Amino acid sequence: MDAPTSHEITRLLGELNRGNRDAIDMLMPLVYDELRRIAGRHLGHERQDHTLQPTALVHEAFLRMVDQDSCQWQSRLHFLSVAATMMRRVLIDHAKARFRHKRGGPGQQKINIDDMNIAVEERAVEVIAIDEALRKLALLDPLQARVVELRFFGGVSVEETAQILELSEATIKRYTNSARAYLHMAIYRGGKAGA
Amino acid sequence: MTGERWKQLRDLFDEVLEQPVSLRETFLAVRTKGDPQMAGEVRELLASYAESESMLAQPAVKGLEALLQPPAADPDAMVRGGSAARPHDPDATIVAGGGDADLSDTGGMIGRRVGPYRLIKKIGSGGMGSVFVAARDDRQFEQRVAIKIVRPSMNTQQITQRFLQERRVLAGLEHPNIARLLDGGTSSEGLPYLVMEYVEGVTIDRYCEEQRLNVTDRLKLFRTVCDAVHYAHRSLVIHRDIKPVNILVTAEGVPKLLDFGIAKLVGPGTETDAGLTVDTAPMTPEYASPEQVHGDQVTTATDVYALGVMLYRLLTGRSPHRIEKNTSAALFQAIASREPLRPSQAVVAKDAESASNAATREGSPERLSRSLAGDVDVIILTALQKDPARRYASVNALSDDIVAHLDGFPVSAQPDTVTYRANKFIKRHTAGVAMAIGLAAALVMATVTSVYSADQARREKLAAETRFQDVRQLARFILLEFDDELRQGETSARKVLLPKALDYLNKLSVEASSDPGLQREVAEGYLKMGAIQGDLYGPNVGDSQSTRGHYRKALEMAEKLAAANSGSEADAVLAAKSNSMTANLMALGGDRRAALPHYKRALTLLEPFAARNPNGPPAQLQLEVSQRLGCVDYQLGDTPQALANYTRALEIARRLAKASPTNTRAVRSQAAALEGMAEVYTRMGKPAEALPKLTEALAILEGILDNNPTQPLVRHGVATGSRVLGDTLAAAGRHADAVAAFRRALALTEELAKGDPRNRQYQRDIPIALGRLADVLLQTGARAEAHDVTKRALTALWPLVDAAEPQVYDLQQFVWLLVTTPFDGLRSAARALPYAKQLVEMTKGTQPAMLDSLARAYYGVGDRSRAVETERRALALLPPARPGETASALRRELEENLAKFEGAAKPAAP
Repeated sequence: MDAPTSHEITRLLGELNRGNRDAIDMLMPLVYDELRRIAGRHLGHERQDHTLQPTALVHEAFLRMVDQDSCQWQSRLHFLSVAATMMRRVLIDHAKARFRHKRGGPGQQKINIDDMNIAVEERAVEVIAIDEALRKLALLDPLQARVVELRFFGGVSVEETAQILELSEATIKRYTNSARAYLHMAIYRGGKAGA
Repeated sequence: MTGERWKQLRDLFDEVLEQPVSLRETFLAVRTKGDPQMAGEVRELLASYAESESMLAQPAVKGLEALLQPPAADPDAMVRGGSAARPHDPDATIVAGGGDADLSDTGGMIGRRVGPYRLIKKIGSGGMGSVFVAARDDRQFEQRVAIKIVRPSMNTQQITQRFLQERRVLAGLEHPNIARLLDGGTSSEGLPYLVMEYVEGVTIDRYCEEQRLNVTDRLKLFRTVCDAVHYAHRSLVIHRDIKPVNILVTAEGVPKLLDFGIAKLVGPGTETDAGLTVDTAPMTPEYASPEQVHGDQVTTATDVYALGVMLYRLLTGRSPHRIEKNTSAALFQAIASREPLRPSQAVVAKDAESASNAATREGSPERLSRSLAGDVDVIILTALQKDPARRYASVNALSDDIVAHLDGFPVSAQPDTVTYRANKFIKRHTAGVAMAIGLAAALVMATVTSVYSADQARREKLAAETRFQDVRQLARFILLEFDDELRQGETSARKVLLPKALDYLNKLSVEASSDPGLQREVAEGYLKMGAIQGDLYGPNVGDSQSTRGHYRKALEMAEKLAAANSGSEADAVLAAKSNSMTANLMALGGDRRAALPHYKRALTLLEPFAARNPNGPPAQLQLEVSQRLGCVDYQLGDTPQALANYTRALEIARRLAKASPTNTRAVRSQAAALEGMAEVYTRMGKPAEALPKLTEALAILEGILDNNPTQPLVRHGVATGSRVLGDTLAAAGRHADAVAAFRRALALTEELAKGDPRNRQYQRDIPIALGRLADVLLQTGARAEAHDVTKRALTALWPLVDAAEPQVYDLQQFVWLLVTTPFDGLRSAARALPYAKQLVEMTKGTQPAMLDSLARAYYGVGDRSRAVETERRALALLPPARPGETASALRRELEENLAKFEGAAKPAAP
């Protein structure tokens, strides 16, 4: 990452610390690109067992993107918070792109069921469904939806989620439990709980 | 749905989830009176919660890594990834499905292509879909597979989910006795399908009949099935639907386990959730376990039970459930509560069935009965225990017993008497017996076996049994004798010994069913275990979740024993103890009203025995229970009852101490009862009556401490006594004396915490002492020190209130300090508010003091109408002031607050 960008991001996080919410909009595209790049690099290697820890990913992005000298403690929490939203967007974009490609793409005839990595596809469907159900939950309680976004998409720990949202850890756990039930109901029981 | 509605729904869901499974429905009914729609929605949430264990368990990116790989030149490369297909086994064997299923090709599926396979014939049909034989026709040779595919009409998301689940489960299983998963995918119509090894064979029950296998051969075949199930368990999969139609035996006699359609994944990651999971999966009635019938948690023990039912059927030809009417209600009734007939008895019933069943097994019913009597009866009945905890601890243990029986060794399920083991031994080693006589039992086993048995496995088995006896002795010692000494000591030492002792209990509980002596021992063991893990009145290691489970087991066993032997003092004491400890835990968790009946039950159990023998163990326990009950009455605001119970405790304690002056427990109990009475008087606004009680109490305690300077429990007692004395002095207006008393309490508590830093009780006592000290310091005008002490109290409380299971008292103090401290820098109603809500929620809105704290917090954040409403709720819970008597101090305080809130609220109203 170029030095000016790193400086820019640090400045934006500083803005955010001072309460300027507009900084989020400017941070997002930068973080999005960087997360994709790092993920690609992690997975581009020859290793067969591809696994990715969102925490590790976000942490690396943070180290690369943010000027560590002038960094404040809250900056990390803000960054985590933004990065979780971006992780969500990166994943959903890729998951949806895959299905667009499959249905309408020129390669349609060539792809056999046999050739597809079905496990990935199942997971992609599930994650897209969770994303959609989470939007419904956000209409009912944006804060609770945010808990799921941080924990599930951002891989943020219970402790840090609690700090970011200024809730107790017990509350984070409770919110996660009922959100899980809600999401499952919305996805598998015909969205009866929809907004 | 509105956001407001969702939040109500969510909060109620949280509350219901905290209840034990058996009480949830009742709890829900009570809480949703007049709102059946709400009840329905909560039920749906609960069902969804139970079905969604794995949903948010992994970060979203898990499993999607392939999507994030940088795009390669070939656009297809991205979707190609690792195919799930495995190399096909050309010899792959076969399936024949469930017999009477509808095999007509209603969907017109025959001849269709699914992926690279062509459907040839329908061989089975189930709830969610059909099974076909299929062939892969793009190869030189035709390879047959079984394809399970969702029926078009059934392609709902839930069914699809089950399919995916089965696939996930099977993908992890590779075992010669489990039908293999070869492939899977989604057909061009969008129907999910699984490709499996095609097993050509017949169901295990038919196979046994057709081959006319005798009991030994049936047991051998069954044992192979156990291997497969055990392997699945080791892979963290519970089958949940074990029955003959799901086990096919090939022409070569190899059994294969099929149909993991409702299997469930378990594992370390899901353990906490599993504890709360109600099983909602479908089941096959005859093979369903009691826990499935009750809708309780399903574990590996569920498969052990189903295996037991199947073995019963294979060996006797009958169902273990004796029912007169063939209805599912009667069947469920039998599963839940009727003990099955011993297999050896079942086969001699005088009917035509017996003769034909015996004919294919051992010839005559009598011969069949003889071969089942003894070991086989015990093995099957152990697997069929109603209580999962009493079954074999694992499928392996069941399998081991069958091997032991087949080899003529003692089975673990048999009551372990010396004569039984000796019989087995003599049968095996007739020549060696002479040598064995006269040697100590353990030595006999080890030496003689090593001489006469070259078989390594057998020798190990005997050694293991001897070890088991050793462990039993050792653990009995740890739990039932040594523990009283450990109680005086450090927490870490006790925690180290726990796993060993728990292991001992679980093993014993399997064997205890037929032996009241052993049952008593096990129940007592569970009590001790619970006490060690979480009894907050004693030194502890703070795990109330497991404690609840242990106490529940103990209570159940003890009440049964007491009911069976109503004249037995030991059983009455054990049942009373179980009730009392259960109640203690409930009271600590905030549910004080639920604790009351358990305390009263304990007193009722003890009464007749204590009357007969006024200085024996029942009287000692009666004293403890009276004391605790007094305390809970006091906390519930019932001062007359509290005083009555404390007075009874004091009488018993004085009597016991007089009869035996060296009985320090009785001596100490006098002090405790006196302190309790003082506390009640203080609450009643009568500090003058409280002070002499307290002074007497402290004198007793300091005397004990002088004699036992190293005992933490005594030090703890003096610390508590000093604190209460401080309270009373403060109430009497003697603030300077109160400061001294609180300082003494604080110093003692800090010493205790330093000596045993992991003890949560001590961690909790520090902020309590600090809070009180701050209060009286303010009264004496020492503001600067009061400020520092308050800050220290808040700092010490912080980790306690944010703990996974915060204690009511800590929350209460935290909230109280935050809303009432006069220091602007420390006071924060906004911070207090969420904790105050949690507090009221935990105590279910039954505690006036908690409601008062919440009202103060509302007032502090400017929500005056809520403050007024909440304070009114608090007041309504207090007993009405009797005419002629002055209102209690609490009532006066609450009324003053209400007036203040109302006064503030009025100008705000239009």
